[in-house]
Parts: sequence; C-alpha cells; structure tokens
Amino acid sequence: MSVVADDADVVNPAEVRENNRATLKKLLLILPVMLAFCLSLVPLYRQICEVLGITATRAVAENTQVDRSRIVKVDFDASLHGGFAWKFVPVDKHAEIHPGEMVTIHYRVTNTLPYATTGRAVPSFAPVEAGLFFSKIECFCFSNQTLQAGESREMPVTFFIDPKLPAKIGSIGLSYYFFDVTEEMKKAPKDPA
Amino acid sequence: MASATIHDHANDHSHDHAHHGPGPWTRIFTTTNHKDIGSMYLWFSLLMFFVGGAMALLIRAELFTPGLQVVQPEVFNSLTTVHALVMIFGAVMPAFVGFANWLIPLQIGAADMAFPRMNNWSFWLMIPATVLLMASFFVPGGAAASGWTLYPPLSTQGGIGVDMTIIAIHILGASSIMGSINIITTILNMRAPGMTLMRMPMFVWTWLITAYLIIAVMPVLAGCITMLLTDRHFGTAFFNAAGGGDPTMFMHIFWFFGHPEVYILILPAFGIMSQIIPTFSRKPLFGYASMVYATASIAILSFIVWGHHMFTVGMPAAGQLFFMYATMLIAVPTGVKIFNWIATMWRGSITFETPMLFAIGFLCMFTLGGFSGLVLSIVPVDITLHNTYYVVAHFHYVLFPGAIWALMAGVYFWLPKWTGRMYNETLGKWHFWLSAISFNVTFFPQHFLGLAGMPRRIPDYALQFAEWNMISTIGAFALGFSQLLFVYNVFSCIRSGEKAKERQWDSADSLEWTHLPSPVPYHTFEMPPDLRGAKAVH
Repeated sequence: MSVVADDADVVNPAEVRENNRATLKKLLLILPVMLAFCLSLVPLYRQICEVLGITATRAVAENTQVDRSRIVKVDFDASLHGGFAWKFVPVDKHAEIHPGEMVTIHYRVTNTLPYATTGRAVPSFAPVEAGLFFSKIECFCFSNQTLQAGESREMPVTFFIDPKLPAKIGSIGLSYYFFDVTEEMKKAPKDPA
Repeated sequence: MASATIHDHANDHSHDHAHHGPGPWTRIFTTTNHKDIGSMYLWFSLLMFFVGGAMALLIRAELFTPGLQVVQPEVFNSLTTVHALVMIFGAVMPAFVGFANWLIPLQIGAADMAFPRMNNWSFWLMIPATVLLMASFFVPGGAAASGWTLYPPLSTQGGIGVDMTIIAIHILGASSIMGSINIITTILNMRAPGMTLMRMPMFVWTWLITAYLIIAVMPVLAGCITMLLTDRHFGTAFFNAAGGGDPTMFMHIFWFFGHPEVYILILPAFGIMSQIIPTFSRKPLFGYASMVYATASIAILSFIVWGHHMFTVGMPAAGQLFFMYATMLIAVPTGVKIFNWIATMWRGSITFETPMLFAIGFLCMFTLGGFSGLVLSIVPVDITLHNTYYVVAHFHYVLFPGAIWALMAGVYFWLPKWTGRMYNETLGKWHFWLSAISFNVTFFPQHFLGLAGMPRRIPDYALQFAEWNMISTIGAFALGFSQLLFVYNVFSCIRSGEKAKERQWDSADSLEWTHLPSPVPYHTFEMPPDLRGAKAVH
C-alpha cells in the first residue's frame, strides 16, 4: 500500500490523491453491502426461526388434554332448506380425530343465483348427546352469511371433542342446514348496532 | 478555539493563503486543517460531555430518595434515553475522532487527512444532528423515552421526538462513516516512507480497526432505524407484531450494530493507553505484535456476541450457550492487552504524572468492569440480573473509567504538544483522585442495588434500596463537579501554562514528540520524514 517508490524521498501528491480515491471507492462499497445485509436479516430471521423451530413463545406447551388412546370418526354433512338455490358442500367429508385435539375443517358455499342472498346455518349432531361434548371454537353457523351473485366462499369450522365423550359414542355426525333468510332480512328493522 | 492558540505565526511558512484570508468565524466553518478540526471535535465533545452529565445528575437527583421529586416518569425516561445517546454519539465518539484527527497524521508523518473537505463536512454534520436531538425535549410528546436502544413497541409509539432522534442518529452515523473513511484512507495511503504497518503507534492501529468496525456496522444501524421510521409512518410492519412483524427482530439487528459499537467506544482508548503506559514506565510497549492481533481479534469477535444482550428473549438453549461462550472468549484477547500493559509497567521506572494516574486508574477500573461483564455473560446469572442496576454498574465501569478516563489521560498527555504549554500538575492529580473516589462511590453501590433486584430505567424504587441510592447520588454530584477542575485546568493551560518542551515526556517516542516542536506548527510533515532504516518507534 506504500505510496513511496523505494528510491524516492518525495511523496508524489498526484499519486497519493489517486490512491486515496481508489481506497475511497473500495470503502464506499462496504456501505451498501452492509445495508443489504441488514435488510436481508428481515427475511433471513424468519427463515432461521422457522428452520430451527423457534417460535415467539419458545417451547410450545404440549397439549396434555389429548386422549391419544381413542379415535372418534366425525362425518360432515351439508344440506339446504327446501328450494334454497345455493350450493353447499363439506370440503372435508370426514375426519378421524383424538378427543381433545383441535381440528379445523372447511365447508364451501356458493350462491348460484344472479343476485345477492343471505343464508343462515343451523348445526345438528347425531347422536344428539354428542353435541354436549362437541366444542366449536370457530363456526359460521347462527350468523347471517350474505353472498353476492355467483360468489363462492370457503368457511372454516374449528372444534375439539371433549375427552369426557362417553365411550359408547364411536362416531359423530355434524350436519349444517342452511336457511334462506333474505326476505326475513329485508323485513327486519335495521339493527342499530 | 484551541486551534487559535496553537496557531503559531513563527512556524508559518508559505501557507498564508490557508489561514490568513478568512476571519476566525469564517475559518471555523471553512477550515480543512486536521488540527483545527481535531480541536473542534474535542471542544464539541467536551460540551456534550457536560450536557450528558447534566442529564445524569438530573437522573441521580430523582433517585436520591424514593418517590417522585424532581421529574415526572416520562421526562425521566427521556433523560435516561438522551443521556446515553448524547454520551455515546455526542461525547465519546467525537472525542476519539478528535484525537484521531489531531494525532494520526502526526504519528504517521502525513501532512493532513486524506480528504480534508470531507473531514470538515463530517464535523459540521454533527451540529444539526445534536440540535435535533436536544430540541426533541421541547416538542409535544417529549424526547424519545424508549431507552437508547429504541426498542419497539415503545419506539414505534412516541411522538415526533422519536422521529427527530432517528434522524439525528442517521446524521451522526453518516458523520462517523465519513470520519472513518477518512481515517482508513489516511492510514493506508499516507504513511511516511519507512512507516510500515507494524511500526505504527498503537493508537493508529486501534483507530484503523475501529474505523473498519464503524463502516461495517453504521449502515446496519441506519437500516434498522429506517425500518423503525417506515413502521412509524409508512404502514410497514417490520417490528409491529399486530401487522405480522417481530419486535425481537429489532433487537437482533440493533445489537448486531450495538455490540461492535461497544468496541468502537473502547478500542481507541486501548490505543491511548498503549501510548501513555510505556512513556511513564520508560520501557517499550510489551508485546506490540500481540497487541495488534488482540485488537483485531476483539473486533472480529464483537460481531458474533450480540445475543448476550438479549438472553431473556426466549432464544433456544443452544443459542444462549453459543453467545455465552463467544462472549467469554473475548476476555482472552482483552486479557492479553491487560497483561501486556502490566508487563510493560513491570520493573519500569514509573512516575505518576496525571496521564499515568488516569492510565493506571483505567487499568484497574476497566478490569473490574470487564469482570462484571464476565459475570453477566453467564446465562443463568444474566437472566436474574438482566435490566437491573448491576448492568448499569457494569457498563459505567467500562465506559467512564474506560473510555472517558482514557480521553482525560490523552488530553493531559498531549496538551503540552498541542498548546505548547503545560497544564497544572497538582490540579490534574486532584482531578484524578476526586474522580476516582467519587466514581466508585457512585457506581460501586449500583452493583449491590442490581444484585438486590433494583430495575434500571425506573424513576421510583422500593424503600430497601434507599441508602445505596442516596450514596450513589452523592457520589454522582461529586463526580460531576470534579470534572469542572478539568475544564479549568485546560483553559488555564491554554492561557497561562508554563512553556512546554518539545519532548515534554522524555520517553514518548512517536513522531509528534521526536520530530515536531511544541506547540505543533499549523502545517506539519509537508515533506514526509524518511523513517527507512530508523529504529522502530515502539
């Protein structure tokens, strides 16, 4: 790096200036590289956490409520109140699950009419007794679902079965029944909320 | 300006154009002379040292007794935040850059810095940045109150004061990057014939390594706080958990900058120590080459230990172990340096002038701070001591008697060379002993407070902490006011000190002592000294 030729006693200012400029360019290169490194930490950080299985809460507690010794078969059924021109089918037809295990399944509903309509679903269980042990965390039932003309929507149901489910019940049928409430909605007074 | 004092017309030759044209006020803005700029950096950092110190005294006044007396909690939080930012970016870093400006060209036999205009610019950038930072106290919402680490979500909340702080840090970062580019280029390209890399004084070596650290990590800080800014104003969610971001990621990125920053604050201090201790021991520095390699090792290791600032964040045990061992590893090169300084003093003809007193004080107190750092590196211990006053005690032990005393020692050591006049030795010794006692009265009890569980950054505390806090506050006020002795000593030295000799310290052997008169002329080494064949200076 020495700027002085071996036989010269005098430093050549032009040469020094040129060398300085070359060094400046090299050093300036470090800046975007480090900035890019910093910004690349954003996706890298997520990737590394995913690969190493590090989640925000560190050790995800094992769910000790799951009864792995039992399997319950659950069938999903979908039907429409007479003449309601929607298409309504379970995406997952059935599932085999352990009591206590959290499960999410989906239904698909399509409005085949050329105008917006509103429906409301009501669930039922077979056997009826199973309903007492069937806890739905997330469900589309009981609330009005308005679909635009031709709109299709996938709707999740998240649930678990209470491990206290009587031993005699080996399978459960969950059925949803969709009613057309479009007219009723029109008549109903506007909800102040 | 001190530069006006050191400016000696007797030594002027064909350079009238450089400094006789503009008046003193124009010259402050336009000067490109490394000595002028070095002095400006030093005066600026001295001012900021007292600004930051005043904030520290407000903090200690509030903590004098339990309950709220002096400031409200929001202001207290702003004070701890801005005290740290001012001390780091306004006092310690600019002071070391001031030393670099003054000494590097003199010690390697260069006429000036490589890019004199950029040098002027990097100094003047600091002024608007500091104004922004200080003005943030007076805007609605007050100054940033998240701690100097600016952790979200506190920093993504806050008012416009946080934005002003972010912009100020951006500007200060740009200033330090420009200063570092200048320093590296000067050292690599402008050494006098015969001044090989392994003959450079240790101060030059430590600054070369520090400057590389700065240009490597300042862009990371810039990126980090830019993401914070876009989170605050442009709807991004890098760190905002509600938008899918991760506040923990901020901590990782921040400390990837933050830990090398710690060494940016201390490596030049190591350099000053390596100049002063051999001089007053009247022996060459022990293990010069190992000092260079130890400094480089510390710098490299500083990039892989950031996790020890966030052991409690929920990282896997393997991560904690890695960061723990890597942190402990840094004690090895640091130990090499400490032992080399002790070996330098071993059987030396030691005298105890003020610079040497500060240097020995540095050695003892910095080692103590290093040991409490080792304690904190142990994961299970850190988990209990995290965010307590033990941490506050630890980093003040390495920063005050570390960085600040090295700066004080350096000022006393080079004042005769810069001004051509001697400081008052008796006052200097008073300054040292008052600082040494009051520093320990202030910060040693904070170890006890931390071990007893007192959290940091809280304006009020439980009654059982009252006694040690009271003692700590008394120490802090004594420490703060002792520093006025230093200011008086510097001013009286410049105005009416005794004439200093060309080689005031007879064993000082770097070029500024062996080749230049005191005070140093305004222009030096226009013709570089030929050092080929000369004996190594260390």
